Amino acid sequence: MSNWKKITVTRALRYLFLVLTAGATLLLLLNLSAYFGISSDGPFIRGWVTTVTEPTQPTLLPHPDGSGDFKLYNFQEQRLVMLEFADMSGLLKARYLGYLFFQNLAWVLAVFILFQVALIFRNLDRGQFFKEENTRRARRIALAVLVFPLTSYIASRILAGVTYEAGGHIITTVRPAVHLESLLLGVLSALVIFALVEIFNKGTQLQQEQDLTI
Amino acid sequence: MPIIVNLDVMMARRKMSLTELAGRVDITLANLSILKTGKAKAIRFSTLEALCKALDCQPADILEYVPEVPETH
Repeated sequence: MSNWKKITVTRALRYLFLVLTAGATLLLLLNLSAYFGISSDGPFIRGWVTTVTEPTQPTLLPHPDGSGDFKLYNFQEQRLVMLEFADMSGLLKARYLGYLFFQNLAWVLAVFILFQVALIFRNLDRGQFFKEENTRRARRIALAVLVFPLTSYIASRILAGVTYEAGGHIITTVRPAVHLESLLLGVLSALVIFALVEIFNKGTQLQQEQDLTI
Repeated sequence: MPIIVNLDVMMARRKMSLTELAGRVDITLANLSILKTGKAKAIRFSTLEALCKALDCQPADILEYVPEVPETH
């Protein structure tokens, strides 16, 4: 029981962030193994599929009151298709690799943010609150938070609206709805962190002054 | 900084070592070293009082104001 009492909140949070960092790193490595095509014939995204649309024939259905049939027009059918690297043209391959790069960049940033947070919690656990290193790390987190939604946004847009032929069908990947809110949220979050960094920076300066007051 | 700490001069006059002074004024050796080397940003009245008492001197014997000479290009 006494051991449990020793575990402080910051220590528990630090362990949580370390576990999250390890998990995110593992997922990043899995994504990278897909990128280099270690576990398949060519590069692919593990478990990644895209919703594609293709035109279909209208279906005839009997009218409920028995006065003939009526046509049900299914202009487009949505389907989940995994893009095969071997089937792609040169331009599509480049876009696909671009997608993989930005998708993995988002993971790299996620791991980077978690790692920085874990290190800040390590310092807090040691009782080093107003330390220059903490403000530096917080500033890095703010920058990563600013870039993070941008990479996800680019990754989601880079393969949107691509038309290619596979299995005798012309497949067009859907254009995702533009969610600028996520970008705005990233900018706002980064601004909030930057503001907190400046407060922390002032605190660090005061701490330094206090340390050099004899 | 235009404020010069002449602690080493006073210590030499009183023939007192840093360790001995640290023991007398109840300040850590590290903090006293910061003060002696002029790295300190401020000094508490209580510290100044303890130093004056231990070295049997006035604050002006420890602290000195030397105006900074503006750099000419």
